[in-house]
Order: sequence, then structure tokens, then C-alpha cells
Amino acid sequence: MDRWDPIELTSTFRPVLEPQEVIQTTQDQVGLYDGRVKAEDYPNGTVYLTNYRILYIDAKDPARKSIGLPLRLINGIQHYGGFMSSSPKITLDLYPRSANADPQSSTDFISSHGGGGGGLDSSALAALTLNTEPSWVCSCCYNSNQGGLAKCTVCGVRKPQGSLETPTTPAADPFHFIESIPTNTAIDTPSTNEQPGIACPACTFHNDPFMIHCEMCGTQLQDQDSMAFMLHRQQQHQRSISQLPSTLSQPSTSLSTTPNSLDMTATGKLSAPGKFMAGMSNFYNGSKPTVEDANSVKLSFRAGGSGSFQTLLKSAVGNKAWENKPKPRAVETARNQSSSTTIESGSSSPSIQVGGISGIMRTVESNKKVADETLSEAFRDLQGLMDKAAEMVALAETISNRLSKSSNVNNEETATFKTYLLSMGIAAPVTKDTAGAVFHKELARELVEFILPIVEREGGTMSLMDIYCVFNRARGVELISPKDLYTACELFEALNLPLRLRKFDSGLLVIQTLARYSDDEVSTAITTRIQNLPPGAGLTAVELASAIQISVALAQDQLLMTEARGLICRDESVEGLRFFDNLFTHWEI
Amino acid sequence: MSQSTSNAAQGLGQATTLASGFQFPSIHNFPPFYTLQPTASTWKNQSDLWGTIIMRYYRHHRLYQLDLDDSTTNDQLFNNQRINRKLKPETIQAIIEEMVKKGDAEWDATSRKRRAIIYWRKPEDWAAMISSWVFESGLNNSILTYYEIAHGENSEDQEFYNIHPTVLQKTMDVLVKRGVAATFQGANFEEMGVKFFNAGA
Repeated sequence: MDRWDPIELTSTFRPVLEPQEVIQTTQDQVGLYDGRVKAEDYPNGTVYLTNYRILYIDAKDPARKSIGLPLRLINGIQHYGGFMSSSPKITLDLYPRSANADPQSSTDFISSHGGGGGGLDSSALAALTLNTEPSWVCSCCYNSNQGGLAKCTVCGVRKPQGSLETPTTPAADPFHFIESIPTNTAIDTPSTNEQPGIACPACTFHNDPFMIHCEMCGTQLQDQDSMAFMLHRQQQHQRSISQLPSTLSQPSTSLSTTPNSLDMTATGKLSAPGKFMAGMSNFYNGSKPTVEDANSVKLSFRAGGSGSFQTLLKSAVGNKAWENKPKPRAVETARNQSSSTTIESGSSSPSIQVGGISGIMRTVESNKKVADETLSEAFRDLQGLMDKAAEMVALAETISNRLSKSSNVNNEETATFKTYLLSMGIAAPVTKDTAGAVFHKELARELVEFILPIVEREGGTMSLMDIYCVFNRARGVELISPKDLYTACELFEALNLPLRLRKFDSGLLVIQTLARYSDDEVSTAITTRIQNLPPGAGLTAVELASAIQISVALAQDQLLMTEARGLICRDESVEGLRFFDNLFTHWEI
Repeated sequence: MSQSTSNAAQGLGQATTLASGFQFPSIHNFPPFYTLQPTASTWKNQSDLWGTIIMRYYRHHRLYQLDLDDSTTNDQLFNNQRINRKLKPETIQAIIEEMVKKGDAEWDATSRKRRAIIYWRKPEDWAAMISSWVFESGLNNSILTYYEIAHGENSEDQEFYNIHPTVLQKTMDVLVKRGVAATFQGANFEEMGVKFFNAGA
């Protein structure tokens, strides 16, 4: 728990976001685990995922028990689907404190090499040549095809999207290569010692430790981290092959079926094992069970939602939005880049070549990813607009601040301009996507934060219709439906927020501040106003509305309420309905 | 007159005085006075005020019968041209209804609430007034016709001169009930007779 920091909250107990920070999703009824032990102080709360942090806000005591964890500390993510009464959980492996200095290296490592997920069988290795076009393995029949071909020569199945396109333009940094020269021990020790064979959780078949999907049923055997590790290892392996003397560079069955001997040869030629070992052990430390407790955190999802949370968390970690934090101008480009890398890594990591139904499923999936990519390409402009929107809001705030400092401007103009700016924006509106099950609660909180100053300025009461307009205008494109607004307003009381939804007898719905909620104050104010009118004059709803800046319907309702209390009386004539002081009460003839 | 200090009360201006010498209270110039107030307590006060004004007006002008027709609604009593307000017939009807409840008025049974008698004096008061007049003028122990009471020479200076027949009948009913007088059938209403007994009888 010592890795979490206390966070700042708004008056409605929502997190205060940093500039450019955006909430990705929200999930309630989440408990925290410190390593494997339940964190007693954080048993149940709402978890917000932003592009920078994971935030936990306790349901019972939000003021004191609210903490945040920067995403940059996250090294790996594991998902546990839950069983019987055990809730689904997401385990976050954190970088050990010492490794914090360079936390990126490992993520880079996963994302840059994740694309190389190739078949691990011997034919794939055999197909490795120094051709400019990398060869690929058919996902259906396992035939290895020449790189330039778009379809399998045997079965005609299309080349899968993320297939084995192993780098012929590899290793941008030669350093990587030296580091990655494997030794016998480097490769074999972890695999033989720890994983003598992986039993499939679905069918119990004992698979080769290299398998990522079960040979029998296609079930995924290993988590993302070990997968990434294996891919990495395989690539090193391939590179080591390509670095062999020319006699060895031609693939042969003997070579490929006995990779260990090949490794030995490679090791004999080039040796820098120590450095690699250091790197590997460092990498391993992050996810090894023995050190896990100190460097991992578990989120337990008691009300579900772990799946989508994990997906978003992964993309948030992959996006690395925090790197662009200080330069808001660069956001747009960064976002584009990062979104495209997300798509790449997203599409490539699961596309391990397996035949059968799971292979077909995977093809379908990858096709879907392509479609998604096309869509996001198409809407990139819109995304750009949204990003700009945040900047525009920031600009508006700056101008507003500047205006409040300079006093030589015409006051009325300034006020009007400020009103425009005020109604301009909610930078990161709560949406159904980001808030999920707690959407209406979050909406209610956001609404109060935004609308409270406006309602107070309007005299403590605003009709729901006005609020709907103002609120939606501020939300820009993330419009909400009247029903959502109504549902959110109904939650004010339950959430103990300083506004109330109120229904007048006529059916008019208004939002009132708590102070305004009492009829006494309103009716007294109206009676006083009417008594102070010039002699013989009455008050109409329109006059009242313009005098105290409320809507006519609301003014009418307040007048009727005051009338029903016997404080004022009415005069109906061709000129309309006017209200007068109730002279009848004390009149004596 | 007014106990309210509000500007609205000051704005009512001087009370209107009619050519007949009747003076309306200044509330008569209050625009809301001509609208049926939907709030129960306000309406109670309003209808009470109207009842008082109607009775004063009827007493001043010696009127007994109120008909819900144009001539009544356009009367100065219900139509204040100074502030351009008039009571609607329904509102007048509602006011009379309130008066009936208090015994200040009575609907004519055959008129379907289109005609009412305003009792600016109660039949009991009339009964006392008529019987004292009879005894003072020594007309007891002789038979008087209703006409003599309502329109006779002897009663010209009396308040019940030109009394409404229905009110007169009600008054006589009270006297008969008390055992002070006995009535005798005549050919028509005006020929009905009444005999007052001695006080001791």
C-alpha cells in the first residue's frame, strides 16, 4: 500500500484531475489487496482509471481513505476471472523501487516485441531465412509461406494480420542484440526448472512449456507477461540464428529441431552472457511470485466489470500518457501515435498461430481489429477536435483569469464575456463509457460541481429545463438525455449533495440549493417584494422572473405557492394574472 | 379603517362615494377583490368582506332582493369602473352562497340560485321592530293587512316601509311562532291579515 499516494478530492468526492488527465472508466465496489492480503483500510470503494493514474475512493470514508497509484509504476497486469465466491481480480505487478529509475525499458520491450509473436514450432524456425521479406506460417495448415505471398500456398487462407513478420530490419539498437545473446543457462534454467510442462486449465493436457495455447483445445495457457517473455526469447533465438556464420545461415531441419545445440554454437561465437543475465533476472524480479507481495497490488471487482477495466487499463498503460504531460500542445500527435501503437500491439499480441476453430476465431478477431482501426482512422478528426476542446477550455480559463485581473475593462462586457466562458466547458465529462455502472452517481456529482455556482448566481433555483440546456452546452458533444439528467438529480439526496430536485404542484421540476429549498424563505421574499411595490401595483410572474432572474414558469410556481399560503392574493383580468398583498386578512370594515 | 401598512393599501385611494350618499370602503378599489381567490382562507376573508359591503349597500338603498342578471352585475356595487373590474356572476353567486351559510341571505327556492333575499336585518329583528311599532301606535287587537304594514300611511316613516313580501312573511312566521300574532288568509298576499295580541297574552 505504500506505493499509493493520497489524492485530492472535490467537494462532491470526485477526484481532482490533473491538466490533461481524462477518466477512462469507473467501477464501484472494488476492494484492494496489498500483495495477497486484503488491505483492511480499503475494502470497498469506487475505482477510477484515468490516463495517468488508478484512483481509489472509499465508499465509507472518502475524505481520508482515497488514494491513487500512478500507471507508470505498473509493470504487468494479470487477470483472474473469479471462481465460485471469489470475485474477479486484476493483479498489478509494480516495478520494484530500484527499477523505477528506468521503468520504460520493460514496457518498450513488451510492446515492441509483442508484434513478433510467431509460431514456436520447428517449421517456423526452419522457415527463418535472411530473405528481405519475412516468411509467415499459415494459421490454418501450418505451411510456411514465402513472405511476399498474401495467401497460403497450400490452403489459400489469408496471411494473418499479426503473423510472424520477424525483423529483417530488426533491433534498432545493436545493444539489444548483444544483450540478447542467449546462453544455455539463460534459456533453459527458467523454462526447465519452473515449467516442466503446462497443464491446460481446460482439458488438463500437458503442453510443451513453449506453447502459449493448448495444443488440444486452444485455451490460452500463459499470461501476457510470460507470453511476452517467450516471444522475446524466441526473437533472440532467431537473431542468434541469423548471426551465425554463413554455413549455418541456411536453415536445416537438424538445426531447427535442435535449437539448444544451435544456441551453444552461438554462444561459443559471441559471448556477453553476463549482461543478458542481469537484464533477464531484473525482468523476472518484477513478476516472480516470491517478490510479488511487496511489488503487487490486487483489485477485487465485487460487482464485476473487471474485464473491460483490464482492457482499458492495458491501453492506458500502453498509451503512456504521462510522458506527454508537460507539453499539452503535443497531445494530439501523441494521442494519434499512441492510439496506433495500441492498435498494433492489441492486434498482434493475441494472434499466436494456432489451427482449428480457435485459429478461425482469431482471424475473425483480427479482421474486427482492422475494422476498428479503419473506424478510428475515420474518426480521428473528431478525436482531434475533442483533444482541442480540452485546450480550448484551458484557453478560456486563462482568458477568464486574465480578465479578472485587469480592471480597466468595461465591467458589463467583462461579466458577459465571463458568462460565455463559464458555460463553455467541462473538460472531461462523465460518460456512460467512462463511468459504467456508476454513471448516474458520477453524473450527479459532476452536475453539482458544475451547476452549483450557476444555480447560486441564479438566485438558488433553476428549472430542470434550463439546467439541461446549460449542462449539455458545457458538455459539448457528450450530450446526456433528459432521463439521465433526471435520474442523476434524483440521487442528490442519497449522495448528500448540496442541491435538491423539487417538483412543484404544477409538475414543474426545479433544482434548488438547500437554502432555497424551504418555502418559507421564498414566500417571505416574494411577499416582501410585493409589499414594497409602488402603491396600487401588482406583480406578475413575468415581472418576478425578470426581477430575480428565474424562469417564468418557476416564478409562476413560486407565486402560486406563496398565494396558497395566504400571503398574497390574485387579480385576474384581461391584463393577465397579477398578485397583490393579501389585504383581506386584516381588513376590517 | 385599514390595519395594513402596505403600499397596496395606500394605493387604493379615497373611498368611492355614490350620489345616494353610500360610501364604499376603500377595499372596493382593490383589484383582487373582484377575483375569486382560490386560497380557502383568503376566500373566506374576501367573501366576508363582500357580504358586509352587500348588506350595507342593500340597507342603505333599502333593497331586499338580488337577481343574478345584467342589471345587477353592472351595478356600481359589483362593477367598479374606476379600476375597471367587475365581479363575475359566478363569483357573486359564490359570495351569496357564503352569506346563505351564515344566515345573511336566502335563495329563492324557485329561482335555482338566480335570486336571493338579502337579510340586512334578520326576520327576528324585523319582528321586534314591527311588533313594537304596532304596540306603540295602538294597533294591537285589531287586524292589519300586510299592505298596511308594508305600504300603509302609518308606516311610511318606518324602516320596514316597502319591506319585501318574502321578508315580511318570514317576519310574520316568527311572530306567529312566538305567539305574539295570528295571521288570517286573504285573497292575495297583500290582503293577508295579521292580529297582534296584547303583550300579556
